[in-house]
Amino acid sequence: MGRFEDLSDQELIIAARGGSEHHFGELVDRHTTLVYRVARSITGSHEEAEDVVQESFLRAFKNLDKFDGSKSTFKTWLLTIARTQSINIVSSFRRKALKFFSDHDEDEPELEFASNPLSQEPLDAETQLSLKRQCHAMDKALKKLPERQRTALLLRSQESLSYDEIAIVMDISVSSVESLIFRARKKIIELVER
Amino acid sequence: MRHIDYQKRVSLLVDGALEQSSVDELLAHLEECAECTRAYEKMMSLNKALANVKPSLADRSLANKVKVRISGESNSAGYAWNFSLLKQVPIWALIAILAVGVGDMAGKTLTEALNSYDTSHNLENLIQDNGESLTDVLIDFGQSENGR
Ligand SMILES: [Zn+2]
Repeated sequence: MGRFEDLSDQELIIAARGGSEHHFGELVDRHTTLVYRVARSITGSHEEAEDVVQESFLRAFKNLDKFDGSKSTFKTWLLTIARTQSINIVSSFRRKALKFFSDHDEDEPELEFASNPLSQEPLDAETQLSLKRQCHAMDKALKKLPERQRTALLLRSQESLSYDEIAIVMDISVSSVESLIFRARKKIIELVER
Repeated sequence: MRHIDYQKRVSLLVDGALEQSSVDELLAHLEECAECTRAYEKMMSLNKALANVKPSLADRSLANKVKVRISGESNSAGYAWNFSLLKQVPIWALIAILAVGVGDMAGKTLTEALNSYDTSHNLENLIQDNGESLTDVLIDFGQSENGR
């Protein structure tokens, strides 16, 4: 572990194309959480997000020679694959049928939230509770957004992707990204204030 | 410009994606517009809140699962690669192998060799026709069926 920390994604890809699965493994370590979060936000399911992560990396590995570093970064390429996979799962007939017969949302494990930057200092119980409430209100509001708005907003506000990168991942124009993010913000503010 | 248009710019400002020339104009508007200033404050705090609701993975087990699958995949790709090696064997080597394999054809033409491969006795083992032709046997078979 950590042998390849100093290498860029591009350098890892070159080595992986040469047959080194260990170099590809470093790419997996680097981007698993990111892909998981994007998949989870689209599918709304922990299990499905895990499947998407596995399938996306497998596809990326098999198609590594098709990756064009001049058109996108590995990260945006991988996210494009993951988004397509997630949307396919959500729109699959099997998924719709399962959702119809049983509502799995109730069985979802609690989200492990990223540590609050303020949490370096121990939080008192009351603050923890209010933070938890805030998280759940936000999570609920996010789920009510159309997928495109939610994905664009999260790629920006949680993953710090640039507008250009988001446009590549979602295969839309930069001005569409601006508009989706703006509408998402307005909608969430409305929902949380309600 | 309408408030909603300023607020679109507020969203860009929050992301640091607004051009400097527009930033100055927007800030001047915010100075005098309470509605757009509220929108700015809400979008800023929304951004902070979103960073807090970022789901994280409890451990590395998912990454490890992925690596196991990749490893399995690249092993099976290895077999494919070995198989493709066969395609690179020079044609003269394949001819040599064939020549050794059909060594017992020595002195015969291909037609002779194939003709000498007598299949009739194999058929006899399957159908004991007692000297009858295959057609006779089938006719007999049909009659006995009808006779039942
Ligand atoms: Zn205004």
